[in-house]
Amino acid sequence: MVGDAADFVAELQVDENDIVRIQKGQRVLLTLDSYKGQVFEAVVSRIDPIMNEVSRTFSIEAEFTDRPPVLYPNLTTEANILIRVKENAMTIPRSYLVGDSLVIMENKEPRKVVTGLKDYLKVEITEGLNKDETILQPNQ
Amino acid sequence: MNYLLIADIAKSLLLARWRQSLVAAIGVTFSITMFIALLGFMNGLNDLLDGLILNRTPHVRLFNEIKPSLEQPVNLSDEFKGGYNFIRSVKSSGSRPEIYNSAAIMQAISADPRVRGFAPKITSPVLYNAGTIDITGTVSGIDVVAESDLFFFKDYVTAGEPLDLKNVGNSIVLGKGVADKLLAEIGDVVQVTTSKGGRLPLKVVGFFQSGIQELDKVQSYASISTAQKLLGKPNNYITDIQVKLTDLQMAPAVAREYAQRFGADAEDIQTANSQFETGSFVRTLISYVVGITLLIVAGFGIYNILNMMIYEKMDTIAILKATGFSGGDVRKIFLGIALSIGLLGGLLGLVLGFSLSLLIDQIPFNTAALPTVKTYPVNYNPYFYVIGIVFALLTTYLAGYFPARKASKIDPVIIIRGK
Repeated sequence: MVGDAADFVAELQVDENDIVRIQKGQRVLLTLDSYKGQVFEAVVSRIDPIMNEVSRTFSIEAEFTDRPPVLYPNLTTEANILIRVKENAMTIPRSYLVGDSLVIMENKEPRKVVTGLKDYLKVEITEGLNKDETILQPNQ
Repeated sequence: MNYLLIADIAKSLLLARWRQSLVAAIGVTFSITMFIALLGFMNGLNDLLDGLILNRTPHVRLFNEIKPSLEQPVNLSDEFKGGYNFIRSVKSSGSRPEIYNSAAIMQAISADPRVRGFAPKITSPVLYNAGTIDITGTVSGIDVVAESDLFFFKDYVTAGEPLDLKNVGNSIVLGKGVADKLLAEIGDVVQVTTSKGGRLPLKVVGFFQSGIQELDKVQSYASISTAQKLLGKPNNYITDIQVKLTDLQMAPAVAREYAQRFGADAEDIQTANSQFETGSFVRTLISYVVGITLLIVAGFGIYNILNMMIYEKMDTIAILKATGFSGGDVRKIFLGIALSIGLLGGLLGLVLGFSLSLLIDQIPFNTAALPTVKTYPVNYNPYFYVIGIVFALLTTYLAGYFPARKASKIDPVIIIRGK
């Protein structure tokens, strides 16, 4: 956190793998070690274009929209930057996905689907599956 | 009935065939001796192996682990709590290795009646500088008195005086492997650099040998204040609190409670070293099985000898019965013979077993891995001796019971008429 006595910005480190997805104006959710369990909001205000070669990260700045009552310089923070919010997205558990893009339908026929976001637990399905259809868990 | 008379008859029968009785008694003696020596030795070895790890492992260890925080901001916020949030890259947080509010935690731990003691500790990766060469390693800042008390630190300092760590400022006890690489002697000064660049000359006051060579090549010990100075940290900087409990079995429950109460990570000894209990249980089981097998073999010897005696003494039994002794009296006589063989042989076995244990205890056993152990370890638990004598009496009673019952059923008329 840096800034003059009244106005603080949050300085965040973003991995080079993720930096292309960051744009100015994106919402940021922050937790601070000094405020355990509370979430604050900010927006990305500046992206520093020079990468820190030691830590392989970019510095970005975020301005608070929902500011904690007391702040001091150099506090520690952990932040999530909102890249996209999608309503009514369809997700399936990751273990139901065969290979990269196949699911097993109820009649044991494989079907190709188009996947969106993925993490280790869930996969978003953008195309090829209806919300009324049943899929089976593949045999291990 | 007159027990004195029965005892007298049993004694004369026993002495009339004293060679056979002696052989039977020696069988019992031998098996009890082996039983005691075997159990003592096996358990001594067990204790040693367990002690290698268990003595030096805290029952509960409090520390701050570097790991990603479980509660990500987006999952905490009211707006996005309900949905599923894909987080592209989660980085580990926990940049502070020190335990928050350590002084208050230590006060709370020392007030806990379940705790036998605790020792604070600071671990820090360092470089030992030897000329132009740097050797990587770890320096642990310890409270020497508590560490010796709870984790037998003194036993592993093979040269020098461990208490000098506390009494001499800026001193270090080097791992034997580190000292060999640095060619350092006691009294020398070694340069130590931390990852943050802090550099401190430290005086060598002793060598440390843990028995795990890989550890001795990197590990060294300094006092807590020296470690704090080395890292440039204030005097409340503690990275680990090692707790020893009065009862080891409570460790998992206490660890869970402490983790929750103090907001730090807590690891219990059962999780850290779960394989140990299984190992010692199996070893103890094997030694008991072998010991009991020996006793049963001795029991068969007694059975044979008593059987023989009864065949030889048919006439005597017939006369005893003819003069008014009942079947029960004859049975008591033969049981008395069996039990006195068991008791005498067993007691002698206990004495010999104890002597054999003492002998094993004197055999030199030198290994680089265990600097404190000079002879084979033996456990003198009185419990083994009680089990030994109880089993001796039990097997001889069973071995004597069937021959005695047979003797009690002899009909004197048939015997006397047959002659």
